[in-house]
Amino acid sequence: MRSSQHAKLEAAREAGEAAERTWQQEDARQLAGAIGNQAFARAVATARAGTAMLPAAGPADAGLTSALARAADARRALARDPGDPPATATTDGGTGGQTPTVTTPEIDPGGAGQARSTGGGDAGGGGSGQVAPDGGAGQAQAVTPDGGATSAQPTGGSAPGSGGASRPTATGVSLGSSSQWNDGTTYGLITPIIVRGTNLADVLDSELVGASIDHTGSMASRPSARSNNSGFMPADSIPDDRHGSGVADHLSYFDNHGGDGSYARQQMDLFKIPSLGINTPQDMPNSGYRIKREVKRDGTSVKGIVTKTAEAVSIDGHTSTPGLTAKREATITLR
Amino acid sequence: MHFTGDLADHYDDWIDKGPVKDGRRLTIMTARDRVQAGQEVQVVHVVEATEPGLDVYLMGPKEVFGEAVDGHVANPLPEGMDPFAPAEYDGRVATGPAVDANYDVTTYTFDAPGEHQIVWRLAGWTSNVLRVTVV
Repeated sequence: MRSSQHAKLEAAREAGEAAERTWQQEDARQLAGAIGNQAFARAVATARAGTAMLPAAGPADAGLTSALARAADARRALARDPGDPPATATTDGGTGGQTPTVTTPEIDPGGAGQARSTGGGDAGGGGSGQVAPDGGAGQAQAVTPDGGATSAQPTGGSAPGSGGASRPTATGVSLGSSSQWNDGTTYGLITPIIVRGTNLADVLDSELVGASIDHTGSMASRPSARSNNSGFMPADSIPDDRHGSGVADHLSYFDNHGGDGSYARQQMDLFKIPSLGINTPQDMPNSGYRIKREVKRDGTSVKGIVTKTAEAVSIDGHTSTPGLTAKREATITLR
Repeated sequence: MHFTGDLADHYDDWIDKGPVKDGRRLTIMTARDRVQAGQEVQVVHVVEATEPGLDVYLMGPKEVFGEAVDGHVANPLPEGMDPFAPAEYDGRVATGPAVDANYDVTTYTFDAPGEHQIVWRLAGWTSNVLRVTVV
């Protein structure tokens, strides 16, 4: 068994080196040499250490990007302790790696995931996909909303190195205990983001926020904000969300466009799991939220109300079921 | 759709970064600094917070303001706009040290042979200078 594992690692190492050689000898030489970019050329020398710059993405650079990705995948696989059993994409046995637990009352127990992994799994877990001879990762596996049969348990987890590795999964998004702010210039709601699933260090997550919709009242004339995304990052270390607005901006609409008004944006997450060969962004189930802003007269004052509510969403061709936390809200006196 | 995670990974190895000022720096990158007349030059933009505690607003791709081509700025930063902290915002905010490459990629073409310079200026920050030779 061990010799088989080492053979796979050796194959991965060779594939990674081949990818780097290909890149160095072909793409990099052409790019760095032909274009005469001195900084780029210096960086090519550092590619021997396994790093490289990525030029602006474009069709002409697809081969370079692909070679870099293959080499990076192989290097990541090799960076793991060779003594660790490299989990295969089809392994679903064992109790999963040690999974630090954060059991907040805000998390819907009816949700699919079980625990927030803050440590990215145990040292013996790894959770990498089986490395294919071409230097890529193992075959893509379907990731079911319930995390399949390999989900870590919220209070369980085996001793480091004692059990197999859970397959990485991404099963939804919960919101931690939220807070609000008003510094006189901006105000809003802060919501910690908790991606649910298993082996989250191997999951890449991106947040997608749609264009603003459902403008009403004084906000009906407000231009629609365009959709955007966060870029991909490890799912076990997601920074908080902020939902902020300018105080003067909102009061201006309240004062000059008819008083009360509101608008909203939808939000959901996408994910990739390179170690399972899932390199195309996938819609994450149970990650949909609506962020609604409302300015409203309250007696002699004006309130700004920001709510984040779970709902099914559709954004730029992506869809998700409602997120795992019902609602968060901030009510702030603007004047 | 524009995803920038991979690009941020490789930013670390770009040598000619912009100078650090007050814990931040701007860097612009391009794959080609020698092009034919009429050939596109794409410019990638990165903001790095080098010190702890500085907020980095990751959502984007963000519009690029203040980029000068041969001294001409086509899209100046609107008056009163914070160059790094949008007032209206939904999404993730990282805390420095952090790198944000989630900006629009700008594209230029040059008809006149010779050297052309591209630099990104935001408020008091200035990026490295890209020198593109058109042949």
